[in-house]
Amino acid sequence: MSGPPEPTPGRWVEITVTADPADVELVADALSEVAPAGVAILPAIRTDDDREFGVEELPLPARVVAAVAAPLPPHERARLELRLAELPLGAPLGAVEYRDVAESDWSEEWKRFYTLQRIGRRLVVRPSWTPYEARAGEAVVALDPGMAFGTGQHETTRLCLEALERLVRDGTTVLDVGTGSGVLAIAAVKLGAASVRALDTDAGAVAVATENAARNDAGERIEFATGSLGDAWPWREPPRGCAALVVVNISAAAVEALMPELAEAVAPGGALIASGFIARDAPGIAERARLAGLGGAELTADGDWWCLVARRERRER
Amino acid sequence: MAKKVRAVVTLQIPAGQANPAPPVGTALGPHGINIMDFCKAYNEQTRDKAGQIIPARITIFEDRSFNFVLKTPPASDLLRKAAGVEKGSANQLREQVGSVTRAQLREIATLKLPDLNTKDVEQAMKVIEGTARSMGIEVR
Repeated sequence: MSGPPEPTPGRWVEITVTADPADVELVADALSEVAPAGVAILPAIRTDDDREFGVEELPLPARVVAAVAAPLPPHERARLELRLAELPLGAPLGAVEYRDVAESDWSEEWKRFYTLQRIGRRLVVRPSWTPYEARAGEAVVALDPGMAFGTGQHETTRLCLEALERLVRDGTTVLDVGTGSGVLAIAAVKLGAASVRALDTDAGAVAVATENAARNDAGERIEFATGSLGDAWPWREPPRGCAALVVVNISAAAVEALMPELAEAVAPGGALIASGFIARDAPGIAERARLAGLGGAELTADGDWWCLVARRERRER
Repeated sequence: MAKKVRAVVTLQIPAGQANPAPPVGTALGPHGINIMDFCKAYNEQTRDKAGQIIPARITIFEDRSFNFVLKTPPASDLLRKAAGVEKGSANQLREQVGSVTRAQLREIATLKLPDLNTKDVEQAMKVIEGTARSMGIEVR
């Protein structure tokens, strides 16, 4: 009597089916019968450089992916394909594809994407698992990438870090709007800032940032809160002139919308660092900064991404 | 932050049971995102939903950070549980595998409403009824 084949430890067969979005649910359901650990659905998306850098799911075929313990012998493949063929679908399915997958240490494998980065003249962003002995004058930020933007791997983060390196002096006060992982706030402390206030509308990001700051022994000099400028300002004293340096790295739309409040928060003689936009939007953002009372605009770029530094005069005219 | 999106992945997995093996590892690993971070957060957020399939829609950003939102369970899963059947019919023309009442259908439609392209429960019931029919589940 032949039972099902014994699974081969550490080997998987990945099954991929391409289906119309309206049929994805039934296909996922059929695949989950053979793969009780679940399925992954990869929709077709559009992510062009709109001003919010949002994402749109397209009404195009999506991939439904499941994995089963190897082997998946021909008769079981045939049975699965028959099951799929009999589903009452709205559109024909693409071919069923099979791929052998060797087990890998998925819980560690992703770390290969992160390496130590040198930014500017003296900033070092290192993954927490990569030991590093700082040289004299270096400011080191240890970061585990995770559930908040700002791993140091994006051009806009690096542009803001470079600008902070140029502008933070011992004792500078900083306001970080849209702190994400807290990377900019932590770097500001490491560069000598006396105190940093850091905001994010996402409470989850604030939790991640708070943890990252503690890991870097920077927690005492950073006050994190959920909120933003304007009505969502979380602190009692108004934001006007509250920081010598205001840094914001979100999107063109967000930076433009917040510009009056961002500019107002810059203390006389201080500066705004803004990023998260591309060349197309740079002139408009510089103009907004000028209209909001900030001058001496400097634009820098890294790849597609741009960063603005604009200053408030020491004395208002 | 400059959330330029790298990929979107929905994982339809049992609540509280995310682990680095497939499909989580194979779907997220190639994007270089912190898999244990996802598993911990997902399991924490779904631990009171044991026994259900709770989809997580994960947005992966250019810098390999990510976030996710939980979705309502697939209608097929809810229908199967309501009908008390193991799996759907391979061919609804040949076989009825079970049935649900209109009240159960309404309950499922109400639960699914946030993830459907309608705010109208009656309309949502029609959508869910279509899924039921295609699974061989009759609405009585």
